[in-house]
Amino acid sequence: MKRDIEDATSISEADLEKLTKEANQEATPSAAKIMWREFVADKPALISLFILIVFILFVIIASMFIDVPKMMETNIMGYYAKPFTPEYWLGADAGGRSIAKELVVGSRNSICIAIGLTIISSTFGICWGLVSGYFGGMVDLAMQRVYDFMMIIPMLMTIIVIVTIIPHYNAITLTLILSIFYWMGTSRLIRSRTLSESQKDYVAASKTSGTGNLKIIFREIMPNISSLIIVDTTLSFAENIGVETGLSFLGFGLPMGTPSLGTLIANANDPENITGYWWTWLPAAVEIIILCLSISYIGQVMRRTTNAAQRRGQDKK
Amino acid sequence: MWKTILRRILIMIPELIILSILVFLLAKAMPGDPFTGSINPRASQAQIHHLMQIHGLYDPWYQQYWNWVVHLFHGDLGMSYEYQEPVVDLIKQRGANTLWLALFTMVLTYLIGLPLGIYAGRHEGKFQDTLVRVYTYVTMSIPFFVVLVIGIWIFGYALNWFPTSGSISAQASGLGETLISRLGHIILPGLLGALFGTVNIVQYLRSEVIDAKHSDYVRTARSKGVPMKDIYRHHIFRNSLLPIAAFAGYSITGLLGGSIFTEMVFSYPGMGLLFLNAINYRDYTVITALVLLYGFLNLMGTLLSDIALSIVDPRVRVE
Amino acid sequence: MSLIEIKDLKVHYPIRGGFWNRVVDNVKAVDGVTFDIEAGETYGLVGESGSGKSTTAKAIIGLEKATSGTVTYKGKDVTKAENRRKLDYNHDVQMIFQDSLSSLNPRKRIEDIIAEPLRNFEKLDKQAEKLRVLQLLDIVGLDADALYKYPHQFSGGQRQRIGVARAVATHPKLIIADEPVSALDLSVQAQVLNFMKKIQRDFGISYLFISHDLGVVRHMCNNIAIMNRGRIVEVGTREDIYNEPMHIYTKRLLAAIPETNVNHRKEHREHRLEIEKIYQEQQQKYYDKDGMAFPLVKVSPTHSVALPPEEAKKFQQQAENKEVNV
Repeated sequence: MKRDIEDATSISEADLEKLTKEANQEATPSAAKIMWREFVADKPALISLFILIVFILFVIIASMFIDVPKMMETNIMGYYAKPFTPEYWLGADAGGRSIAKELVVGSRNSICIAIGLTIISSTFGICWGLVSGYFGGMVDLAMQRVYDFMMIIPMLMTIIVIVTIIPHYNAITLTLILSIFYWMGTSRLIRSRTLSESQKDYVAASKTSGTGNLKIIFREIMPNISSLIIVDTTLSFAENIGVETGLSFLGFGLPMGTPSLGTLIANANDPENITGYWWTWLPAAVEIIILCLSISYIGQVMRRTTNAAQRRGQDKK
Repeated sequence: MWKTILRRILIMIPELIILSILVFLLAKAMPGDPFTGSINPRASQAQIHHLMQIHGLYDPWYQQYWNWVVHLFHGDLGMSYEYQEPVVDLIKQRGANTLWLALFTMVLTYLIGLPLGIYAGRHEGKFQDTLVRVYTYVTMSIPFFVVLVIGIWIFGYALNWFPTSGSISAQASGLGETLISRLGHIILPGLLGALFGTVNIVQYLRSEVIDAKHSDYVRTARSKGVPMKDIYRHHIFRNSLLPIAAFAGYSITGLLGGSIFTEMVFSYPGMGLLFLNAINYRDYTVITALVLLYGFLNLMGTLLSDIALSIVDPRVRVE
Repeated sequence: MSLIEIKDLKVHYPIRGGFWNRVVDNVKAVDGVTFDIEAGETYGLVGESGSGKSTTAKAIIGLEKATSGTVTYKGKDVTKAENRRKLDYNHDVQMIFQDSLSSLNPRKRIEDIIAEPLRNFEKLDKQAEKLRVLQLLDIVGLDADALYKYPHQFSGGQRQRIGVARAVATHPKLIIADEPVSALDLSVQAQVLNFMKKIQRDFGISYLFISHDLGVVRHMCNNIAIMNRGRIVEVGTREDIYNEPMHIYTKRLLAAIPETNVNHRKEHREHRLEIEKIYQEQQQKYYDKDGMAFPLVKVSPTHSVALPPEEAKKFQQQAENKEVNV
């Protein structure tokens, strides 16, 4: 039967390379390229992206040079040291610990946990939504019931109870615990898009082309909702920064001796600190605000690129 | 209609049972035993053993669970070890405080959210719309606890406009004074909660208004010469209002979750603060009761919203 | 033996209702359809929208679960998924969809779209695969630079050709074409149809051609089945259907073909109105009390019609007499 097709055309082995090269030149830009073009066109977005990346790299690298156990030691000489002194750029807390150093290490911890949480919970939520939406029927019904149940669990309380039950935990177990409770939003979004996407004929065409279900889900449908996934993941990242820091703020996040942006802000729980020693908590609060705003801003710009009508980067190629 | 409601309630029952089992098992997994703090610390192993036996703590877990559920249905949530009071009474006192704060926040949320959403929709694409969008983007992005801390710092401590702790001032006496003092204590936390909780309402209403603006029935009304103002009042607003009102139930989850942060920052004696104290004192009966209660309230909230929405919009009826 | 035999195929969708969501009734999308497709022929399946023709197609290719009945291919019942797998059924039976845009994955390049069935059924090396895709593009008359483009960069007619190229890729025995041209402009329709005919001649493919347009079907098909409300009401050769329609539904469909000759406009209109009048009068007679068509009766060796019981009896007797005579 291969014969038949070869007989019907004039294209032979020899033309292959030439034609491929020709076709390559005519190729269209990829989605990533379009997104990048959009960022270049939108200067504030480019700047926030740049600042964000530089900042994350800075805290990760700088915290490598900080001896955390030594930093967390109490140093009576520095008791509530004022900021803007050569020794304490941002002052010190009640234990004489340098706020600047705590801020760097705390940022690293909080950001890394937020990244981990985003990766795990989004991956899970995406898979859940894709499977639930693609198969439909009884599978979907059962998965929806689990979703409904997860929605009524008082998350924050349950997490706090679990954290008090588990005797020894660290950043990784904390991230895993949090991930159990933060996948539902993503899954709902992905499911509803997958439902409508599965009705399209290209899915039917893939089925009749002999492609398996898993391959259809992840190679056919997923690329079609990739922009939704990227935007949702970015926005969840901004949200997730608030999750661990919030818990640490309440005193149930990272274990004692591991600084986090949340534990720094928790200094404000002491009425004397909040007014008299503002430098113990305000920098961390401002940092969280800036971080969350810039990440969500990046998310908003990404959302705009997925909506072709609002693109700014198109005219300037 | 009644079938939908009944079916929805039937779905709820297994959820409630699973939730209660989960809460019970979590309580079982907590370190220590329920007598910690309530008996003489020098009690011998034999005495504790005896107490455990009397209270059925050596029974298999499902037996214990059953006993617990039976007590639950009699309104008996046990005694708080820390406060030496029945948990039910404790929750009644603290619950009222949380309830007032939550109600106040919800009312404010709607008061701020409704006009903003309509305003943004009306001025779609214009400067005013952008302004509202920036507002929703900022309030959506910043973690709520940071907002609370900064809010209490500026308006509570620095400007000294609002009280920074408690639910009522000790000097307040008489009905009028008590009311004013109570209100004074919830204005700041309520306002912060409302300002930073309008995102859903504003975004939903904005897109509703924009959709309605371009819909055929509004175009027809306009071409008949009905003033735009009346169209907004009689058609668009009325159509969008019911679903928005139906959202109230869903927002309970957020309000309850937020109450833990709010009550901690403002030292406001509600259920959230009670929970945090109970965790610190390992007051297990209180913890279990509160987790179960919050779960139950979440469930009721979603149930009410689901039913309300199914009345408003037949397309969302549960199958 | 026929290439594929469809026997008493039924696709019912349950209607759930009542308090416990039990099945209270069925929507009979396809209700007992029987026909065979011979190798190399084009079989037309005609009917208005909602008549169940698309559902029949989907059940034959395996996209829709058949409630009962069999589809026999190479002696196996391919309504069962494991038989389809064993036979590599979709290597031999492919489909062309109505909506060319929706049937091509917008995120995939044409190369990957056309190569998809090849990758699943024929393990070719990269070079051979690319060569095959280029040849397929050439067959359907598209340039090589289509290779790296995305579906939205093509016109409707070009996209449908890509759909044809994908369907032909594994050199199937049967292609099910579900209204392949009804979304296209008239001028482009003819182009795509001629392509399909040429490919059929070159490769000896059978088509199951589904359409609501009798004009197009006449151009394409040797044998035609008319479907209405989930059942076949008339089956026959092209001549049977167009020259001697016997079921009132068929007559009505034929009367609805637009007449291009302006001079006969008035007569045509009168004819249409007359048929419509007969249809309204005899509707009761031609459908049973549930509004379903009657079982098919043979009126000639090639021609079967779902006639009402009284008339059916006449033909049955005739047939028996003939047998006696012979």
